[in-house]
Amino acid sequence: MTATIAPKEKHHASHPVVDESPLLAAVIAEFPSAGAVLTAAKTIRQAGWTDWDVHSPFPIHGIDDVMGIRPTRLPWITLGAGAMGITVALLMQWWMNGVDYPFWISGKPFFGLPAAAPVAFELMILFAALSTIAGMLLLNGLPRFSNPLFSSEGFRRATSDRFFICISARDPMFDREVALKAFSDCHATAIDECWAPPASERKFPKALSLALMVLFTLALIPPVLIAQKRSTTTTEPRLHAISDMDFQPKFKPQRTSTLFADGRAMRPQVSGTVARGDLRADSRLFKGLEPGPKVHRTLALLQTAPATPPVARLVSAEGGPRDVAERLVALADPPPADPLDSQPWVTSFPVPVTSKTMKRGQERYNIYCATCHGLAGDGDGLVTRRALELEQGTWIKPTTFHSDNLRAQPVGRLFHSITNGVRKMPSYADLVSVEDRWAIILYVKALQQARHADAKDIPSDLIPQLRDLPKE
Amino acid sequence: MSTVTADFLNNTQEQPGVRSPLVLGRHDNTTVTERICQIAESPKPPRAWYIAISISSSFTLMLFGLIGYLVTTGVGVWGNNAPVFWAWDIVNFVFWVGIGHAGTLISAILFLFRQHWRTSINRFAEAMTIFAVVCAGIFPSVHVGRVWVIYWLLPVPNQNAIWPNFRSPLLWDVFAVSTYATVSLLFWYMGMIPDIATFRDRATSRWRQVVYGVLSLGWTGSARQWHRYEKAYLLLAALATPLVLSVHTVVSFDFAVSQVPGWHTTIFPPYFVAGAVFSGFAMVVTLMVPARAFFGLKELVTLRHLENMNKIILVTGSMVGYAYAMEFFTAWYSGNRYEQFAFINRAFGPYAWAYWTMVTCNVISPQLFWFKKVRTTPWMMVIVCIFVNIGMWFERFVITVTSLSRDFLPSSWGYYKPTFVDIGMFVGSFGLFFTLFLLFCRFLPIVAMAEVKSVMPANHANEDH
Amino acid sequence: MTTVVAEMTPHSPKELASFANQNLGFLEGRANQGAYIIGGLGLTLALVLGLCAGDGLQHFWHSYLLAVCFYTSLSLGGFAFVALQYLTRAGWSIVVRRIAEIFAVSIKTCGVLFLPIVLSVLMGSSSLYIWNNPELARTDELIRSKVPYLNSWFFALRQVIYFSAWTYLTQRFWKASLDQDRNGNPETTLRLERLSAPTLLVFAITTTFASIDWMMSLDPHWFSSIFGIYFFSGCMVGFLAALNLVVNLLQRRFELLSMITADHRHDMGKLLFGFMCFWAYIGFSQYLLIWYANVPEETVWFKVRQSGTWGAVSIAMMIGHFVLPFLGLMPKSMKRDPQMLAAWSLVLLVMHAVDYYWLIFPTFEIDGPTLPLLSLSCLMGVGGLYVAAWLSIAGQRSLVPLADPRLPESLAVHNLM
Repeated sequence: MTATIAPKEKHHASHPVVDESPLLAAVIAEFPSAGAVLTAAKTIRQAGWTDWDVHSPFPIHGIDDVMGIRPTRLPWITLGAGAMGITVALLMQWWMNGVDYPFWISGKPFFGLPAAAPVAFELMILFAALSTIAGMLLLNGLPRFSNPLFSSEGFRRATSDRFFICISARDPMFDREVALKAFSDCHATAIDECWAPPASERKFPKALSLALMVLFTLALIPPVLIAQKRSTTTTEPRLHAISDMDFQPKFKPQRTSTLFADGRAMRPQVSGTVARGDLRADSRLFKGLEPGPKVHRTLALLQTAPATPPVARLVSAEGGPRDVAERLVALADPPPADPLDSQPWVTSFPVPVTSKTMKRGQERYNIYCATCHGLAGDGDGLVTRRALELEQGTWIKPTTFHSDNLRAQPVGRLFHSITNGVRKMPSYADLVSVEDRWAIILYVKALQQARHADAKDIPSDLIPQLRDLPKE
Repeated sequence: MSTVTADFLNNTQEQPGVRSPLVLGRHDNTTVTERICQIAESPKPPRAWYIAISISSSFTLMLFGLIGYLVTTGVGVWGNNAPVFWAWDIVNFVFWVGIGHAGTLISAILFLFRQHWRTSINRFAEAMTIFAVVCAGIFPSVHVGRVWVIYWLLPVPNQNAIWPNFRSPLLWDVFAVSTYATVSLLFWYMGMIPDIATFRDRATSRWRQVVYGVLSLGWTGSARQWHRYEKAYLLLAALATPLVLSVHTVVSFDFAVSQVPGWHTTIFPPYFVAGAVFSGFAMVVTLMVPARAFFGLKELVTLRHLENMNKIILVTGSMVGYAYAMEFFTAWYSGNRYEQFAFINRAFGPYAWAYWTMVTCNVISPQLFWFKKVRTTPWMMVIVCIFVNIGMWFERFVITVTSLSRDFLPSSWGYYKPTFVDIGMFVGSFGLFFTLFLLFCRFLPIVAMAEVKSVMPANHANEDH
Repeated sequence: MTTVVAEMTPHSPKELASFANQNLGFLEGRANQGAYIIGGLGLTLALVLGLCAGDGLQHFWHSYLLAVCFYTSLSLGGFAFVALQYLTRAGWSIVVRRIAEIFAVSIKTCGVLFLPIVLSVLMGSSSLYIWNNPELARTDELIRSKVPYLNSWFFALRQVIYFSAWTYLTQRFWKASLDQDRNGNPETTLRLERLSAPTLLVFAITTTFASIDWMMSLDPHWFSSIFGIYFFSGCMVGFLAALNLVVNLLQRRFELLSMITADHRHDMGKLLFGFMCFWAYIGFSQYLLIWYANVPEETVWFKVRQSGTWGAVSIAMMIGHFVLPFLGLMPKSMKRDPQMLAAWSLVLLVMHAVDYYWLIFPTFEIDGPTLPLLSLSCLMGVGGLYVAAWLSIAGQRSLVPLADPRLPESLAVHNLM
């Protein structure tokens, strides 16, 4: 510690009785140059003084050796703070992004060293730098606004162009006369005494302490307000700092609007227009029906009589109570004269029939259909088997694809069944795209043919391979 | 000191084995103190100062007015729009951060390299650093739009109960720039403590005594204080050196970690750092030349100081030129057609005018510094340095805007145009910069007196050890 | 902040004159012969091993490239060091500059040693550079697009340009420096200061493209614009480590160069420390940008180096080339102590060789190193020839620039931080 002059606390301790006279704190000597003060410092040290210091406007090279100043501990503070900075940064990033709130972003690991390095580096520097400055000030006993040295008018030049040696009154061998003698022996150009004000005058200024108290109280208000807001609930809406961002002049779906005569914010399609991607002019592809005037009539018919009531979809999905289910089963009974039988269904595929389509169809079938219809289309999928096992009365076993009725159905009719559902089976239009529906039908057709195939249908080059199949 | 001839002020001739003096004229500790203190102690600053600060503060007012307009209206008042979502905001940010590199470089790196000539200019450059970083910080802050929730960027609990994403380079930027601002501010302040103590001890009015007394923290310049102070200075220099490199490195990561052609190239970190030093030194020279004439500091900030800075500008300018060349070569060598297009588009696309402005100002104009005449003639170097500053602004513009305006998808190409708010905020940031700078010149020690004294030969003559 | 404006002449003129005896003339060529023998043995062993490997000498050529690159990098580092000292008008480094100059001038030997590689490429061998395979250059789209640059004739021409530029410039510095020993003309210093700036410009461009040619084009698909700077940072680390080791050896074994004190070591240690950090900075930047952007055409290069044995090598390099020396060289006492500085320099020199091994081999041996012995014997062989050249350049010449006007300043340097 520097502490050239007795700090007031020490004085208080040693003088319990308030002393009203100024105290001699130090004697100082002025020198004209760095060289002169260096020489004088050697003498002072040799004379055996211990509590003394040199004051200069700039650091004098070599003074540390002359005065015997030991290397400061500051580098250790810096090193420790730097290491702490790295540790804190890594732990913080690991915990925040890796443990407490992990989320995927741009395929990066939750916590990875490369991405954590920049922040770790910055915090290392920040911690180390702050501690270095704080450590330097603390070790130097700064800030210190009251210093007996400032009582000397001449000492003011210590920060401009004069060099001083100061011997503190706390030095064990301090004696005013001896110190002054020592200075004049060193050819000091001027000698002065520094007086500490009497204890009664060394009180903290009243106005300042009042101002500090007010400031402190004011500083408490924001944290208290925040704490209060955080710990209470309110029915008031939150503050809207920018109201036109929070309340934007736009309509959300299913809201009303006075702007339109019908009072709806959502606008129906303008007649005679088609939304992008909604043009479904190709009747064969999108409806499974041959084009012609009859189509429109059929469409109207289909729209008024949905194959499956929406309620049934809901219940079958959730497995409702038995009585409701029984009523629904009755409802789901096919109408006696099925108008669907007489539609102009397409009988050939409106999509290219390739092995790629077949593969796609197999894949889609196994995903969407096989759970109920079974992998081979016998109506014995896992869900079906489970439902029958549990004797679920609401469950209707899917028809096998291999019945004559179904084998005779044109592909357009099958397409219609997938698109709109049949009996308890819901529509799969929103799950399976148009092309995929045709691919599934292609695969179903393949399943049907495979069941009724004989050796003639097998390509001759494949027959030898069949023999190699393991016997069941 | 007007009796000193101009010839005497030229200390740029090198004689090997003899080091030229760093302080000219018959200066001693007293005159150095006088010369520097009188700038801040004169009861009334010169009329030019009043004119300058009234101009700059009106631009500052314009800046704050525009910020208010932006905050209350939204960032749509800027010209940023698809596909150029980063434009003048980020360009100005990188430009100002770059300017802010010279100060710490001079105070830290040149210190570690024992370049004693830094002592006359480091205070000045450090102040410039702080003010440039202040200007830089404004742009990304207001760019977030809702500035009142900007604390979401910090790792503090917020109402969304989520933490910032530390994997984002933009968050690294928050840490890098705020660390840099904090450390350089403290470094600057710590360097000023002994000089503020000088001001305190020379103060005649009560309020100056109080203000400078509080700011100087009771410094008495004791040998024990100096010992720790110097150690702290050394440690801070050793910390600030990697810090200053890391800041522009992280800024370059903002661009280079992406996959945008023209942004993603590995040379970006050193290239950005070199560019930052380049622009920072150019700004120091631009300001230093008029300041030393105005404040009568020609004997402290000598032609040799300026020449040395110009040499560094030449070196870093060449590094930047090297990086441009490497980018181009690698774009061709990579065989990646998007990368190749990005560079052809820079040089010959709709922003070719910006590209060639950049090349002319950044690569060609500093080549004039090969001539000693240009390096040592103040008005010439100021012209070159202003060109360099223009060029470095355009460099960031070229990188940001040309790459975004035309990337992978030709259907979403666009052409960016700034609005009056963009232009006004950029001009206004110069106003803020100069306002802070003029206040600094008026009230604080603009040359590090203690450090200058420590390199004056007279202060070493009598030492025997 | 405490600064020393070099206090002159603690050394008397007589003492300065005695520096002329600071040379290796007493070895009388014995060391050269030893070095040649080691060189011959090493290369023979390498060739035998290479032939035994039975891979069309692929392994041998890669090892040979490694060895030549390694020693060339020391010379390049020395060259940059010398030019930088002139450029910055440095005073402290005069006492070690002659040794750096010897490293720099040895680059002509590296040129000769590189000749076999150039010849093999000219003769159409693609065992080292696969872009030289005409079949691949036709079928591989990326390589085809690079043929204007990556073809045997242009490659050979570039090598001629690099080595002749380096040889010419190093010789100019060397001759002028030796002349100054005799005439003590301070004008020489000024002339070389003027020359140093354009020299460094040429150095930067040639070194960059040399690194692309030698190492980056081994995987002709891969590219990185920072590669030249990475290579340069390695050159400086390698050279400074070698410089410290040479100074230590000369001081300890032959009691030469006693004027190089703890203050000079301190500065050399700081430079080594600084360039080591610079190497880590460049290496990390390159890795982070490629890791983060995750573009397959770039990550493939690191993918190989990150998996299996190469992954272990990468980790070892991170620790041995940065973390440990960083902590080790940080304290002032480590840099000032001759043995500690030499020990850390040795670590870094070895790691520098590992770095080049890591740059060169994974492209060829994807699964990990299989025959490090071959690379070691190549390093030994080429090293023997390099050392022999080094010694013959040093010859009878003074190891200190006797009449450099800044020598007194260098002798009096005080290092306070």
